[in-house]
Amino acid sequence: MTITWDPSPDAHPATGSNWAPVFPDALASASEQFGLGRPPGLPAGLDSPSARDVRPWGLRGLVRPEPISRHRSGLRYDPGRQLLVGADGRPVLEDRDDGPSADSVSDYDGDEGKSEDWKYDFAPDHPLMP
Amino acid sequence: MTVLILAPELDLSADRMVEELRHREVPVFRADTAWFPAHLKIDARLDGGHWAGRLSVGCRSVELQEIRAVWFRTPSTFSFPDTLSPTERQHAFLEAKFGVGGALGSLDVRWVNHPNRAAAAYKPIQLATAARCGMDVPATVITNVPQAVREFADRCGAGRMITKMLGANHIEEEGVRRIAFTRVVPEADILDLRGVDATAHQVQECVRKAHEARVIMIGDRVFAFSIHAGNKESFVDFRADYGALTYRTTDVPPTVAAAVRQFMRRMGLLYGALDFVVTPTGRWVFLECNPGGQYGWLESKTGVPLTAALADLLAGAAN
Repeated sequence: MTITWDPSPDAHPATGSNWAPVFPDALASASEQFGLGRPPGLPAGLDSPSARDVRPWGLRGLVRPEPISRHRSGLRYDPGRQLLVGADGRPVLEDRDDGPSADSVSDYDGDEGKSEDWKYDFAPDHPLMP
Repeated sequence: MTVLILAPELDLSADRMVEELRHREVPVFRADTAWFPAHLKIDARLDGGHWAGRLSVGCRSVELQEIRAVWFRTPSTFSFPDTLSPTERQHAFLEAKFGVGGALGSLDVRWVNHPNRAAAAYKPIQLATAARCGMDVPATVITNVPQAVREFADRCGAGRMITKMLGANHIEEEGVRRIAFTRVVPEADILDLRGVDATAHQVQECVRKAHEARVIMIGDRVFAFSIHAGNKESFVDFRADYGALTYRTTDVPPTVAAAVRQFMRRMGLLYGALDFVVTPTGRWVFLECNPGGQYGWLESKTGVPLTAALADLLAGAAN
């Protein structure tokens, strides 16, 4: 396979001016051209594991993460300041001398975002059908 | 000249960026696509070869033509009311995706990173591209043939083959979330390969490791951190136990840095978090690149101003 996008160093936007995204990614479905993440608060799925004969081999060795949460209650997004604030209205960042930290995550989504266990497109064009 | 941040509400790195840009007096408009359609409104019209109009949330709004850079932090998927039927919901979702995604995605501005860089999520493409760019990569097999796994395990030697996910590293079953960290394949699982034929699997040689390193690429700037594991679990996959890790800034060998820059250009990425194994002899072996990988905790642990570097990149387009 030949990867054809941005073949020239001159095309790199860090070294040039603006660039025009033209949806060149042949591998991505139409929906994946604008991949979006899992919505907040969605409950975990309820499927049961299949029999060992048919369950994908790579799913052996799964671990259940320890719930880690240092989040205070009463957090809310402040649309005026465009950031997370506590019940007292102060930005959460002001209360953290360590800043965003991957070791202070809740359910391993990461309070910085969701990229370490990122799924490219949570809602594709054609969701898997039963 | 505004920076548009598309990020979930709970994203402290985005919070920090909002503060950084505000400190620099760079206008910021932050939104999560999960607010669409209830709270996030788009009113776009085709004006010549560009989309003009407005994106608004409550009393805040930004003219599309004022946007000069977009920081795409994996915003959440659109949110529709439960009153819609599943069919209506799917229709609404696709219309939103093609409408909002299309209008925003066509903005001729600096994207960090543009979401259409989906190929960057394909690890086999990453590995092939990294190798073409001159990086060392682990011996890797992708297969659904049990015999191929067995033969590769023999070549790697006892206890020297690992397996890792190609896509998302977690699943949800029975109401709980389960994570698949990189793991050394135990002998019992090599003897019992049932399920290999169920789908594609990735197995790799277990590269001899002194420590891991994460390279944060921001534009052409290279920031590197060595990650030192304090226990067995985090030695195999540092994500398995963040509490057992220590960090140091480090230098990337010039040949690796040059290869990484070439990799980023080929993948069309302005930002990336690249993971390496550093061998006891000092060889850097590429593992993968996460186009949306986290950096905030490394900034916190080491004091390296990554947010400022990213703000330079975003604000540079906005100024």
